[in-house]
Amino acid sequence: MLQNLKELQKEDLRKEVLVLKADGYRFVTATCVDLGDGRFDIIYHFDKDYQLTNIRVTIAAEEKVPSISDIYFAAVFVENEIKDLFGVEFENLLIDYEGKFMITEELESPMRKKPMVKVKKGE
Amino acid sequence: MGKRTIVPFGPQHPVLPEPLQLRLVLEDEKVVEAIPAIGYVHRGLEKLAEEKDINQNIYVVERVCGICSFQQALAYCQGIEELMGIDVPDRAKYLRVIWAELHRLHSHHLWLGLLADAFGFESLFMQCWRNRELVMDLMEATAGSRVIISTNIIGGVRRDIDLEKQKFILNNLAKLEEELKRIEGSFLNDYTVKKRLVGVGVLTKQEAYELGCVGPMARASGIKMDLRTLGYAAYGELDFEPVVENDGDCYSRLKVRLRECYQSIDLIRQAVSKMPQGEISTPVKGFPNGEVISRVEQPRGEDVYYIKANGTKNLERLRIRTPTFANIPALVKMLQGVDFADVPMLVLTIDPCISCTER
Repeated sequence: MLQNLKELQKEDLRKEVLVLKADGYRFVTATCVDLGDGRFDIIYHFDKDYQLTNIRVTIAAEEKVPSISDIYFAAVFVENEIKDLFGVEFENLLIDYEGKFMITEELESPMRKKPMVKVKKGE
Repeated sequence: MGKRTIVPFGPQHPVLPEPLQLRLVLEDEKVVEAIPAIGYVHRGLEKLAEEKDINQNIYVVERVCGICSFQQALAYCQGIEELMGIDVPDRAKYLRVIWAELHRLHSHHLWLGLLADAFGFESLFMQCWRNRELVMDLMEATAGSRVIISTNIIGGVRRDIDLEKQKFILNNLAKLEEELKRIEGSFLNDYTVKKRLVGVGVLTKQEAYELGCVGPMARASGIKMDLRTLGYAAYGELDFEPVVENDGDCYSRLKVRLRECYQSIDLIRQAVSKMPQGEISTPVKGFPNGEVISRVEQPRGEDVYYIKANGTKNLERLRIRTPTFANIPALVKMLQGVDFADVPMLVLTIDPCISCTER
């Protein structure tokens, strides 16, 4: 139901973002979704004249995503936030907080879905 | 080249009302670089939203930020309504506009007071916050509480505003408008105030656009962007134009917010006069499925909600991008090359809300 959704491979991401920037799009934000099976969706949102364009890149947990922070400076903080909360690594981040932008070191990717452990009463 | 020093500005700093830390690299009295560090009040609300059901989430998102709680709930409810294909009754749409604009009024007054406080104008600060009480009284009269009013539900609103309360709103707004005109002169014409604001922290139109600025910050740099023109709730039936200034300095940002106060008063008057009779909510059955992006214009700017649902009572993912987060890159850029003494003023003019930023 997302409007203007493009599903891309991570290799094509930067190329597409450069095209959007040349077209005069504004970077809105990026969203990371844990799919629960070791894969992550990263959805980039761009806006021009109130029209949203979304780019979805699906990656495996151990894969690195090319950073777009050198194209849009505003992406630096979003990418650092995703790195902190989900443990997704970005390649060539403009400013790398090394996982300490929002959280302290002892919390390890707190937004990731973890297997539920149910403890019965009395055990 | 002068001597370089690093000053950790905040999180507990007398002029900074928010727990934001800026590491300022100084060369003599000039700021060369600013590195923000946040995370002092991170509460993990996005994660909490995965545990609570779709109705409880309204209360979760209202606590993202107290000052704009109504708009947060509005963005969330509109997203769920779009997913489920619910038609909200017309009267509820107008009621939503009234409360949303009341929230904008009290947020802007709070900010005006803080700005006056930052440049050391104590009595003006008190005046602004006293005027804000007029709005708080309206909130209390119409919703029962002063800040987090919890009137939004999925499918409409919880409370109605009857004729008597409408009269009370209009009376208080008339008083507020008068008071605003009285304090406006001190903000706009005072020599010392101008000295602190004019030409400080200039952000050009292009910079503002490239850095993804939103809200009054973008409008003060000449970008005509206001999501209310999309016509969500009842905004499509009201007559208004986005407030735009072109200088891009602290003074412009002040002017934008001052003019927006008058705009909000006008919008509430229009909404009260045009509000139709009828139901205030539709009954809702079932659970949402799919993904959607919902956007509203908060007092600070564009608020983006990404909602992913899977047909159960819990959401798969709720992502909240609040306006302060979008304005931080511009703040970092603006701080480069300004005087150290202007830093508090600059940080304040983006209207920082760190509780929003960290959720």
